[in-house]
Amino acid sequence: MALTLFKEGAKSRCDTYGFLAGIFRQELTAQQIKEMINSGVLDMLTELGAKIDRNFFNKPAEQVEEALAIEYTALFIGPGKHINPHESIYVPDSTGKVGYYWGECTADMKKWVEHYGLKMSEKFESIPDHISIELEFMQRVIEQEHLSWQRNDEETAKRCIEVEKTFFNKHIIKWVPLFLNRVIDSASLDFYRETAKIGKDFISDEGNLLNEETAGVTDTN
Amino acid sequence: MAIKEISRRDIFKLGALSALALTGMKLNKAEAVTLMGDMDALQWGFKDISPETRKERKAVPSACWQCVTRDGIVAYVEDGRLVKIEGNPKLPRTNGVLCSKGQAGMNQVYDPDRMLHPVKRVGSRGSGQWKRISWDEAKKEVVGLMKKLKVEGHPEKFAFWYGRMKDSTSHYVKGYFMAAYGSGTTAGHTSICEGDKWVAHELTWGKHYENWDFKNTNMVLNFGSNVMEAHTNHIPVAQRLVEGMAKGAKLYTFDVRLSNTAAKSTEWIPVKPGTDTAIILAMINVIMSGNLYDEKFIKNWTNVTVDQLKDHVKKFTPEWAEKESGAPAKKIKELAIAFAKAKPGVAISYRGLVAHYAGVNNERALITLNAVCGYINIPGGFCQPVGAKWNDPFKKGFKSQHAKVHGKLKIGYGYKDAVAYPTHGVTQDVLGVIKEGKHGRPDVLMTYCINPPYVNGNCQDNINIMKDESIIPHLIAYDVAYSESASISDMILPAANYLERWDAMGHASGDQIHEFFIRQPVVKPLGEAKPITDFVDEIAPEFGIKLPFKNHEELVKAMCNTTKGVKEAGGFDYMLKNGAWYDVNEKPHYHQHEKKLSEKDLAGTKVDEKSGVIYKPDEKHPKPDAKNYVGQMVDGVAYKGFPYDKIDRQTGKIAVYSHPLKKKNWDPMPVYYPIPEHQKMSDGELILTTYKVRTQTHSRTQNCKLLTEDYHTNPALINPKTAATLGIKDGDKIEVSSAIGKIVTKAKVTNAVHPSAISISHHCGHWQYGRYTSGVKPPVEVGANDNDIDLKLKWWTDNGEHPNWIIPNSTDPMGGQQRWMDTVVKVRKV
Repeated sequence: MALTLFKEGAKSRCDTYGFLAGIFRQELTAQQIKEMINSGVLDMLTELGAKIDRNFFNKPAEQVEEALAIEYTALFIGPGKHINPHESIYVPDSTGKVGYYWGECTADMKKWVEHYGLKMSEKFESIPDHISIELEFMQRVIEQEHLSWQRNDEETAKRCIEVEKTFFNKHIIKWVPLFLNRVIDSASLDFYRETAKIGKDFISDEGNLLNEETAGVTDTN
Repeated sequence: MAIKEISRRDIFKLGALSALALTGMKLNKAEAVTLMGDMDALQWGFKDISPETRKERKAVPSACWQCVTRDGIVAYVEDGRLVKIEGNPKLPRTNGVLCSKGQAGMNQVYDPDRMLHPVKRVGSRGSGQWKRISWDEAKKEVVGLMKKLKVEGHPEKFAFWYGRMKDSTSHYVKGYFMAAYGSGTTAGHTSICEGDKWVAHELTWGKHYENWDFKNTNMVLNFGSNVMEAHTNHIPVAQRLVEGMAKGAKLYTFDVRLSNTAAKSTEWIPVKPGTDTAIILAMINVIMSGNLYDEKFIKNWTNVTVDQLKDHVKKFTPEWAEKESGAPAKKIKELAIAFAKAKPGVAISYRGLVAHYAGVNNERALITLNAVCGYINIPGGFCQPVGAKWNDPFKKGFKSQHAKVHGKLKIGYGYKDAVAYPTHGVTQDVLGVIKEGKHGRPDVLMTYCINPPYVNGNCQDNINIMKDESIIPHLIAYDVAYSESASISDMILPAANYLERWDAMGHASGDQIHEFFIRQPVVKPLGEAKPITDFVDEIAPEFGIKLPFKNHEELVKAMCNTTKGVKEAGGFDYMLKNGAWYDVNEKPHYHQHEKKLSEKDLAGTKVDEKSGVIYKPDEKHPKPDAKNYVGQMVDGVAYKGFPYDKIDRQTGKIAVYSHPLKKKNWDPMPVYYPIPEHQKMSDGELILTTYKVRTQTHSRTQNCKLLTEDYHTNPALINPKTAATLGIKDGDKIEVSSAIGKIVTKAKVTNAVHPSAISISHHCGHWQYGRYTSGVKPPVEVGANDNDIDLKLKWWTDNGEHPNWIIPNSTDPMGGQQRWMDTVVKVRKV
């Protein structure tokens, strides 16, 4: 039963992590905004319950790009009070110290990335516990799970689920909901606020799936 | 919330939205992506990348040998150096899981105190003065000694005593070389582990060993097995127990000590040492008197009737068992009823049950408990094991070369007439038997990966005998480590360790299927270390022995290329690449005893009227016996039954009534034998028990720095009530003394041990075996060096105390088991 949930949901889960990673990775370009409108992404967001003022997106794409870029900067970059998108700012190290860059969880995140044969793109100028890297890591693992299901390789799929569960519990759940809550509270534009709400619900659902539906699937605590 | 909560249904919508966004908005566009590379590492096993150089490491599938479980492994080699060991996911019995001991196996290869060169003593035996010699010199000397015995017509005076030797290596050394040389004088080590368990199996259901089908069970009654931490099939059974418990199985552990298994159990029921059998018998009584038994199984597949059993066990009441063991009668009744109703359940045991006086009887009681419930050979029950059946194409033809002069000194089976059925040897008495001389004395004793002074009881006696050249004129150690035994030998030959040599292998499957796996060298032997099979290749021609293969690799290759299934999968080449093979379509084997015999099976057979045993008589064996057993009649149908092994049980059923035991004047039915020494205890005396922890084996892993950093000292566990009466506080220095000596150790005051016992693990207190465990550097002549950077980081100086100094070599007269759990001691604060 639980395995069926994973098998059927792998592609959707993988893409959702990818979508969220993309939204929080960097500012959206005018072209991306156009595509978001033209390809129906915005409509689908609304269908899912996101309350987005369409009038905002009816403005010229360059204006929307500018407004979203200002919002992105204010929310995630600064200067001044902003919502830092790095795990070590939120999660205390083994001595209880918190709120500094390149903490223990950053080093651990680097190990996760490297252990599974990945490396940071040289074009991305941030550190390994950035929200987009953690979300993309999940996307990458679930992508492997999806491919394993496609070739009927249940063993590898289960192995992937173990990795997803461990990583989710070790990193994502410790700070991503908190981060998204702050976005929800601080965003002045609908887009980032409503996307954060969708992300928050998705992460909550992921916690249930990975921790409650894995009996007999993985041994990982 | 403004947005409705996302349901599972919405996940698919969200997924579709996201997919659209990833492609349409190009959120996943390569140049914008944060992470690069593939994730092949998620293909479990066989792939590993160096975190420093990003180079892919060479993956070599092989097999562990840190303990006898022999997990399948994948070892990773980088620039010729072994850097990491993982489990092999292609072997179902271990399922890619590897314990900490297995992962630390690389420390065995690069132990800075490892034996790297042959050496010969230059001072008196045990003086620690050695001279490095060449392999040619060593071989010349060993061959000279062996030739002399051969010429004198006494090859049996060459004795071979082994510890860590199994699979095709054992076959190679004993089956080929020793047989052709002419000596059957060998001794193993099983009686210091669980020998009585196997003797009980042979007396009761034939072949020894069993598999507990945990993943399909509903309830486990555990009598003295630390199955989550240590077992002869540890990883296969432990992970299936976890799986079974995740599905709802209950585990009840009766143990003197709160082991990690007891801690993970549904309930731990502390018991006084040596009294578990009282509980088992009382449970059988509850099941029989409550008519909860499996009548059909008892009638068809045991050699007793329901009425006989009822009558036999009625005196073993739960109230009586409570008085003996301390386990509450109410609990015994409750669990007995639950067990009989669990359908299926399985009752299990290990050293806690059998390392006692009459340990054989105890295990027979346990098998009977499983049998009365019908939990034999069923899913979720107590099953006859299924293992690899290798074909050795050379064996048949080679028999003609076996030596004409062939003798055997019975040094490995205990003192004359002291043990009723020592079918798994009496290793703890080997040295005593040699000293006594009634079975003759070997002129040359070669020890192979066994460490008698440390692993047997009464360490000092072992040392005294081994050092006495008038008792053992020539003593040669063939070992990986500079052990306590090697240090008092005349010559030491450096052995390759398990990661440097070959084996064709098999062990009990956790899934009741046939699983084949191999050991292949991961790295070349370090220094001048050499696999013993290579040594055999080199010395065999000196005795005119022409082995039918060039070397061990060729034997393993031939076995892979001729064994059904392995051959068709690709034989040796397939095994080199994958390490293991099994038939993915094979169904688990249960109900093996109920296999009906064919006409072909029955050709030329007779049926013994009294027992219903089907046998094939010949001139040498005209009556039914262990050699000519074919099957068992039940209600007019011929079944395979439970074949005999080493002992003639006189039945193909489960021998609840044991004729062989009756013949040797023991009670033929499972009964309760109180431990004689425990009946004479004075006030203040305690029972010393030993145990194993998850990160160490009995004696051969303490040179592994990763393991010994984790576990290097072993304070004595003592109950707070007991400690209070003795005026002992946690951390106090205490003296523990028995009839043969005393040790000084530290007290660990804890509720995790029964008040009647004091418990000390038997991994620590080495006085040799390298610096990580003993603090003693072996002589540089053997290969010891200071090149290991971690030597400077060794932070512990407390190496613990070895309890065997005060445990006598005390043998169970039924089966030869060393009675580790029966020693009576006095304890006082120092």
